[in-house]
Amino acid sequence: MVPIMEGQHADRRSSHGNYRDTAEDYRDNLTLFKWTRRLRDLHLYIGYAPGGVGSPQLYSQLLALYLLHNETCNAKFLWKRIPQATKSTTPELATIWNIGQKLWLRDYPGIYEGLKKEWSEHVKFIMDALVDSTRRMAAEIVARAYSSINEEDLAAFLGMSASEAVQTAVSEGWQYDAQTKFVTPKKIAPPSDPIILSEQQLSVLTDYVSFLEG
Amino acid sequence: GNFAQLCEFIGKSAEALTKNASHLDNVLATLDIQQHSLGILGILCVKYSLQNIPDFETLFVQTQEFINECNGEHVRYATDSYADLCHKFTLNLVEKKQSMRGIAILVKAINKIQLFPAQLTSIHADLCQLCLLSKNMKPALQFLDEDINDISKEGGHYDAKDFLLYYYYGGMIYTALKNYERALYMYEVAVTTPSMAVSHIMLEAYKKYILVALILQGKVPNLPKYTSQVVARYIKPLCQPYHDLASSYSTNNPSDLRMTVNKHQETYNRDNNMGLVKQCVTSSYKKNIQRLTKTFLTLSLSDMASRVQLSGPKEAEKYVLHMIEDGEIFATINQKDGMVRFHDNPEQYKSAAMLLQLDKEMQKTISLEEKIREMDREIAVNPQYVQKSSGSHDDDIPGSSTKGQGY
Repeated sequence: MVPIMEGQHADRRSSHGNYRDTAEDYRDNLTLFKWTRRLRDLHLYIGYAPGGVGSPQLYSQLLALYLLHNETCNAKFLWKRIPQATKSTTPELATIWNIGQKLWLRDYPGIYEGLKKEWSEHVKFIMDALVDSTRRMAAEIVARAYSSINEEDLAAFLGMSASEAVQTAVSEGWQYDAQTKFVTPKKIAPPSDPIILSEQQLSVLTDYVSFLEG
Repeated sequence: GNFAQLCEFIGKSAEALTKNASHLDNVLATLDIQQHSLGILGILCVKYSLQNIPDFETLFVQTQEFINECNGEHVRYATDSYADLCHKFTLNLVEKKQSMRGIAILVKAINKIQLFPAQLTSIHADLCQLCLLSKNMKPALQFLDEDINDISKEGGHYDAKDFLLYYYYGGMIYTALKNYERALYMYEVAVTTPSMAVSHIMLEAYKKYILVALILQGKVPNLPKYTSQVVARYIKPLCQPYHDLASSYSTNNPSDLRMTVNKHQETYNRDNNMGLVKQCVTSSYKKNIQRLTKTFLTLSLSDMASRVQLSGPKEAEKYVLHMIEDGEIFATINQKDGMVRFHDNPEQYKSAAMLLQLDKEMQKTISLEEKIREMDREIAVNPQYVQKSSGSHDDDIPGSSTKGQGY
């Protein structure tokens, strides 16, 4: 784990590249695991920097990462405590937070609209991943909640045009009725059960019995 | 060395140190943090108690250094001064509006002085306060998520205020992060603290308890039997607007609820509870929709909208969609027919995942029972208790649980 560094050395550190925030690294390490670790590092770092101010880059990355992890409460508080000065010099922060607001209200068309911007290097890959994850999340919700949905609404959920949305749906195995223009989502199979070893189970049951009788 | 004597000596020298306030920095320079932790602690306490603190920045850095590097073993002999230092530190930061800076330091401070994670210190309340003021909630969570079963005595200086504040602030932090279950628990602990006098903290905690209970459960549950009389006699009458809100909530009539909210708007705003009140109103719509699942198997969206007094089928669809997403209802929307079909909870409770969950809960209960047995044993051998119980009942076995309650 990257060591947490407090103090005036903060900015020097990130420019040394020790902190790995170049686009190259993200292109190679696009796994959620790495980003979760990054999120933890970043939030600790900003939270504990003396004077309580991190660099604008750090703030935008942290804000974007919170959105990616769907932690809208934490994103809201981060936005509230970013100093006004940083907010005015870094308009990108406001554009990122705008997406956060739409995520909070679950306004899918608004989310996709907000994501259609030019992003700077250090947040671009997070935002691209956000588009994908929002689509996946939306598709899951539609599958869970709707037994039939019209193609316009589906398109709004997925942020695509109606025909693209239908195409994606059909490729997932959903059914489409061209006459009525309604899509029938396929139910998602529940996650598979974890396996429990029988010896482990037996020892756990023995613990319970001895506890209840003791 | 004999640390207890050292502590006493330092306590007595406080006056002498105050008189020579200007030389304190030099003295600090000569002491080593690891070996002379207690001495430095004494000096820092005196510096904070001066009328005007000339140079807060230096003091801040000195405190930070001290907490980061002091000898944990040593300072455990002076827990009250240590806690006092943290309190004054927090007070200064709050006044100077620099709450954010203190968070990491207090986290370190708590970790150093706690004997084990389930122990509550008075510094916990300070940490929660700083987190709330700086809107940075995460650092407090590591402490809030632990179940407390012991309180650090801090030389007899641990005050009820610290206890109440910890649970009140903790409840507020959980409410902000929308973990309403845990928030309700924290407020309940604050409200059910044994007491003979009214505490403002309890009063505010009670108001938020009512609001969070409405959001979470749709009704205000009866307070446990061990709640002190003070609550019923003095606190409840002071919270009439909130009781009104609870009663109009239970009529399931949204317009009635709105009227009550408008009537008491000023009170809610003054108490800074308006945000929670608005959430109560939203939750009342959700509760009304949930009640429909008891009567109907399928329902049209427009019918639902009129029954629940929403603006139209589109709004009803949005509500149901959000509730499905959050797991508050089991239903499917059929847009073609404009109908909603309600289901039973698909959980059959026979999966391996559920078994693992049950296992976790059982383990928690078993370890809690262990802890209670230990506490019972401790009381049983307490001389005061033995005296009292053997005085009234000569033959009874001390340490039985019924006796424990009477004591």
